Amino acid sequence: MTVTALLVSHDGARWLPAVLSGLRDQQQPAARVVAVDTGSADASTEMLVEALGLDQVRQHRGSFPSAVAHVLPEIDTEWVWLLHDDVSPAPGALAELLRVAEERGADVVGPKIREWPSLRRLLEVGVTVSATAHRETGLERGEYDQGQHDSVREVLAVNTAGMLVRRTVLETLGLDEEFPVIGTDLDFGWRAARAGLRTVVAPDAVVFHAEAARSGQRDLGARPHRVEREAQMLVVLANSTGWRARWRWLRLLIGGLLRALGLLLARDPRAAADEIAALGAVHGRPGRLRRARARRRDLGPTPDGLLAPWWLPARHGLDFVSDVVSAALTQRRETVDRRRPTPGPDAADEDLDDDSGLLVRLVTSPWALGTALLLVVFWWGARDAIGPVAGGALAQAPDGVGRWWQLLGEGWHQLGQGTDAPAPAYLLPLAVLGTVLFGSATAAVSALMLLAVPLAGWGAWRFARHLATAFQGGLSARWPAAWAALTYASLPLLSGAWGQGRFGVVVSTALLPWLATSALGLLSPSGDRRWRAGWRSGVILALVTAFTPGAWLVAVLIVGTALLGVALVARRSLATPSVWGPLVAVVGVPPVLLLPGALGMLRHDLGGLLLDAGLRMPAPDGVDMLVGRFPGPAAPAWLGVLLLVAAVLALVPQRSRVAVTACWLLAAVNGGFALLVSRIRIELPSGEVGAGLSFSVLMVQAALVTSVLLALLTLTREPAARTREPAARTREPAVLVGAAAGLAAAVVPVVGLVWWLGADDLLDDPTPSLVPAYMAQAATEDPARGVLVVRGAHDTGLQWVVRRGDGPRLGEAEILSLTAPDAELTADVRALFTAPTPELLDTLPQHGIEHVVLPAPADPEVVAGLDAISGLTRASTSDRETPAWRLPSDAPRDAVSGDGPALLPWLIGLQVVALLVVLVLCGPTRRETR
Amino acid sequence: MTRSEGRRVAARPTRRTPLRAVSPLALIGGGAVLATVLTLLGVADPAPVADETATPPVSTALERAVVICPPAATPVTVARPLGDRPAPVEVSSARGTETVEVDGHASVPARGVVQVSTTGPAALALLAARVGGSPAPSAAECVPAAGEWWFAGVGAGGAHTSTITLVNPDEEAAVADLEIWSTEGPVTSDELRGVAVESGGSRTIELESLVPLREDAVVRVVVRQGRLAASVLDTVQGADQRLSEHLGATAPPDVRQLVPAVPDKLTDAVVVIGNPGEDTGRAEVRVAGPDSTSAPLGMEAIPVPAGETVTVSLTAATLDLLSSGGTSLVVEGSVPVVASLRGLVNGDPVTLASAPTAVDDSGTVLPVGMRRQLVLSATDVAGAVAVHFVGTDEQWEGRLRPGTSTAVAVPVGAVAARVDTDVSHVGAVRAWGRRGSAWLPVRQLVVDRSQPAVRPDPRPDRD
Repeated sequence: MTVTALLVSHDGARWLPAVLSGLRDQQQPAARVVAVDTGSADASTEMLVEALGLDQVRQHRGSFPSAVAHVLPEIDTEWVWLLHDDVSPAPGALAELLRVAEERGADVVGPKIREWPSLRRLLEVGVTVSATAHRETGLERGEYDQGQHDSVREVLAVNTAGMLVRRTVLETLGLDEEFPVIGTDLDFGWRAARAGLRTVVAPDAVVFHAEAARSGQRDLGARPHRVEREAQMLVVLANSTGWRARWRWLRLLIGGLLRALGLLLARDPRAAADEIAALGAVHGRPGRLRRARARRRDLGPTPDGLLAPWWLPARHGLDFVSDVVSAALTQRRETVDRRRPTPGPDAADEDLDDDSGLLVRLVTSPWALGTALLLVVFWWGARDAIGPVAGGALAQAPDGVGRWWQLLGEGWHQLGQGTDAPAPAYLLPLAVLGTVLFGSATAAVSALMLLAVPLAGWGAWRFARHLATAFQGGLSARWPAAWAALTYASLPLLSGAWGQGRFGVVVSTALLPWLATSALGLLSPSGDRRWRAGWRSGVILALVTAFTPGAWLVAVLIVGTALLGVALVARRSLATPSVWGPLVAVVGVPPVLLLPGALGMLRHDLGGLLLDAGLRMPAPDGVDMLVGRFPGPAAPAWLGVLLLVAAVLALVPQRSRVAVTACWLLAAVNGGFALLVSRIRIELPSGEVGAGLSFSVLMVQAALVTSVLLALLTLTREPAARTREPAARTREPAVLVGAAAGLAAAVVPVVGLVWWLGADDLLDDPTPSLVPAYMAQAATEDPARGVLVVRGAHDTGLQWVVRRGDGPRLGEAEILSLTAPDAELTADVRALFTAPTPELLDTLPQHGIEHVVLPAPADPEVVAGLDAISGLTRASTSDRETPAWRLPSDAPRDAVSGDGPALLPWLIGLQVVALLVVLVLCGPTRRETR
Repeated sequence: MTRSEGRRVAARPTRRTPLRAVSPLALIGGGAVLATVLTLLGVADPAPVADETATPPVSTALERAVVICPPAATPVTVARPLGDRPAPVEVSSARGTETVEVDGHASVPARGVVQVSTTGPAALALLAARVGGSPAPSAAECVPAAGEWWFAGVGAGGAHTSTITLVNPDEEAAVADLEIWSTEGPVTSDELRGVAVESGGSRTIELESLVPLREDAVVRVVVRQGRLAASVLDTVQGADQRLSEHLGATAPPDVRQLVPAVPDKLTDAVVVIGNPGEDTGRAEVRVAGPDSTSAPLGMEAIPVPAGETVTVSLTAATLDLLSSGGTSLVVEGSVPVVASLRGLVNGDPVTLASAPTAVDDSGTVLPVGMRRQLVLSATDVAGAVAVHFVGTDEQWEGRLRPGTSTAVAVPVGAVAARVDTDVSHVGAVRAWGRRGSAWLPVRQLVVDRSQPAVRPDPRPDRD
């Protein structure tokens, strides 16, 4: 068996010495070594001439296939061993290739290719291609060679780097010049298989490959990724036969576009551009593809089992998505790849965790058991929130999530007398949540009330652990973190926000620690991480702002203060955009993400931007804010005082004083904000209301909890760490004071939870509608058939409202409160109860009113007055105490129709695009390994 | 002296001034605490969620007045005690509508149910009643349609039967429920519910045919739909003939009921007390005389079981106190009750209902052809009063005191009385002759129309 080693070189001077040395060291040397240089600009030719002699070196400007074709006629040995200038064969490579070729009767034999220069990582042990035109090696990225793939087997193709091929086969099939470098091997192997030839991989034959072309070290005239994608697509389409060819053509086109979109979302626009360019080069040049297919027309079908399995692309997609999600959730891991993260301080525990089942871990961990117990206790106490719930600030959820989408999408709401007031911003996240929960708005509200508190605890735990890492290296921080998580999670319960249905506060409580954790990333030394932290914090702040609009103004205040501080302390650093840019992104993102509502409010009623979510509820006064209570059912004030005292004592330990002072400054900023904002009176059409202060209440309490946490972290440091500091040794009284603060603070969540379990709240099953069911049904189907609902009595005054359905549902309340009553209708309704005329009964239907209802207990005097009106006939009701009347004529269908803002669809589009862009920007980086 | 080199001395503690002992950081921290507390305590008081204050009704000029007279054969006396010039008044009956020019007062012969109506300024303080003297004196008040009526002391069987007449003056049908409390408790019957009266029509209900009862009862007419005028005609089997008398509507349940102008020659007197509530109570009978209120001897506290009606004969001592004339019977209950007084005057049956309270000016039509006495009693506070008698130029002025009854003699020729006062009071006029007695309560004069304050709901977001 004679062999000619054919070395093709192009600017390979870096590697040639090793390659030539490898050739020389072969246990079974080739009968002849011929080299072809394809126009190197470096010293490759000289090196080749020096090593092989002038007569064995050829010059041929062209691609790899043409270089091979150029030399092939002068080769007369049985086998040709193709080598690249960046491939160094192990000493036994050729001998092993020949042995396998003989034993298996193969026509093409390939070696095991390991990475050069690491020499240990596997690159290829035979290759195939997937239906999505991806080169499949069957190896994990960076997999070390431990002999795990050392079995001789038949494959679709082997790399041309180190490929041993029968000369006759090479002469017959040739290398297609459509594939200058990349894809040559796949195409050749595929054609060989279709021609009935056998391609085998011989793992005991090892070559080391620098992959100069793929890694960009060799100039291909284009981006390597683009060339690779184009080549692989062309290989798949040129070699597919029958219906599969058409199907793969379509699949590659659609899949390529989707893949480009995915790459854009994964913040890899260059790869996306490569994908699009490759698609254009293949699908946009049908003639080229047709010619390639024509050249392969005489070949047979592809043998089974050589191509990659059909499910492989899906598996890769799934792996990628799970990596992205995992990286997005684990913010410490900023980069998506498939390697395990660097083991941290708890690595031993995590390893143990990975080895144990979930149940085992649960029952053997007192922390897990404690958490599970607390969750069960909370959910038992919160069982009212399971299923339909309403009360306090929480209106009943609509029948389906479709109503929320409708409110978000329509510019004109047929509520009351019709209004173009914008839908509240929190509807978007609620609608998304409800859609995920199978379209159930009730489930979304229940999930909100049931999961917000655990989420708040979880977030507070993570935040506390981050602080612990900063303050004490993360050791022994579990107790303080657990206290902080428990106390913080109980804030919505103790403040009364949960029991009073103030869902905006409840949600913001859940999100705030996540926002704080994300904002810690703004202090990262890496500019890239600071940017991502900025975008991420902006998105979370947008969510918080949607539920408690005051949050944005507070954030602006804090960011403004921070920028001012930076300007005073380190003005030069402001020259770096990644210092101030992320901070600006934090406060810039919410207005953009909340664009339709924000602009709608600007043109409608600016004051609406300061209103808390939900039905109007009494606002807290100064003392309430200090002790963290909302007016209504709330925990005893002394619990709040206890936390306040503990937070003041937290200033005593010296080591944490800076951070605790920062917390108090944060509280003071919120106090100042509340002081100013509380003086704003918003003149809504429905009356004067105060600006929402809920977020400030939350921020002050969060600052107090963080203050105490910081002191506890200082006190619970490793004794060794403490005694190392001389100052700490001389501050033992401070430790005692801090311990007293900790003890006082510990009482808060424990007593608070016990109180909450036995406390009354405003949440209950939704009350039945005041409007008789058939009227509500009619009004739901046709909003023009409204119902005039009149409450009150003759002696105390009557108050009216027009209902167009069952009653105000979650999301509709804010719209109604921003809507001014119609002046004409107001006059007409007044006339109905004071000086009714026959004409009036014809006018009222023009306002979209069909029925009049006096909910129980109806004032007999008022009832008698309506009964006396000629033409107003009694309508049937199921409740004798709730009289109703029907107006003599039907309401016109367009009675409450109107036009919303023309800009709304554009604003929504902008919002969606902005959301996608920001999500991409705050997502983890996709590491390019090419 | 210089210290020798190498000698080790303890380092002297540096003396720190109190100001220097406090680090700048502690100052900032303390300042932040102070700032937080002060700013939060300075937060403005929250605005109310919504203006939920009650808005009282407003008064406007009365544009139309309609009163319904119960069916009878006696003529209708129409009076306008505030009218200073003649004004047209429509008197409608089954026979048709007659427009009468009323200059102060007028008497219009009519039969059956009669509707008296007028518009414009003439509607102010319109009064009407059916008064007659044959075969026995009788008087029946004409009343505006309303949503609720109480009658105490109705009969539904044996020697005492009552007929309820419901009149619907409006253009839409009216529906009413009858609620009855007998001596044995609440009476339930499907016949009593959903009594419909067509627009502009009337309906007469023989109580005996619906719910036969042997004893006195209390009836509440509660109008579920529309408005109705209700009246009761009582028929009592006398010694040789059946005698009929209109039973005036009684004031709604209250813990103090007052029956003014009790005839001095009352015999066979019984007081009917109804307790429509759900709590059992006790009632005590008093007599308010010219100078004071007296508790009659032998008149013990009367147990009034929940949901029952009690009939108690007045003791001789009580009748003795009443015999002085110009007195009022007071029924004080530990729970809200309704009350009426029934008896005979010279063989003529008479039923006196507890009178409604007038908060200021009041008036009544006066029976004619007999001796008459107006009895007034302040309910809360004392105050001046002036009584103008329509049909004469006479006027009486005096003072009303709570707990006492003030009797005013009605001059001859007076057709109606107008009581001008600022104090809450009750009152009635009694007329008596050889053949019997008649009684009419004093009612608040309707001089304006109360309109409810109507406004958009300040909380349109609530359900």
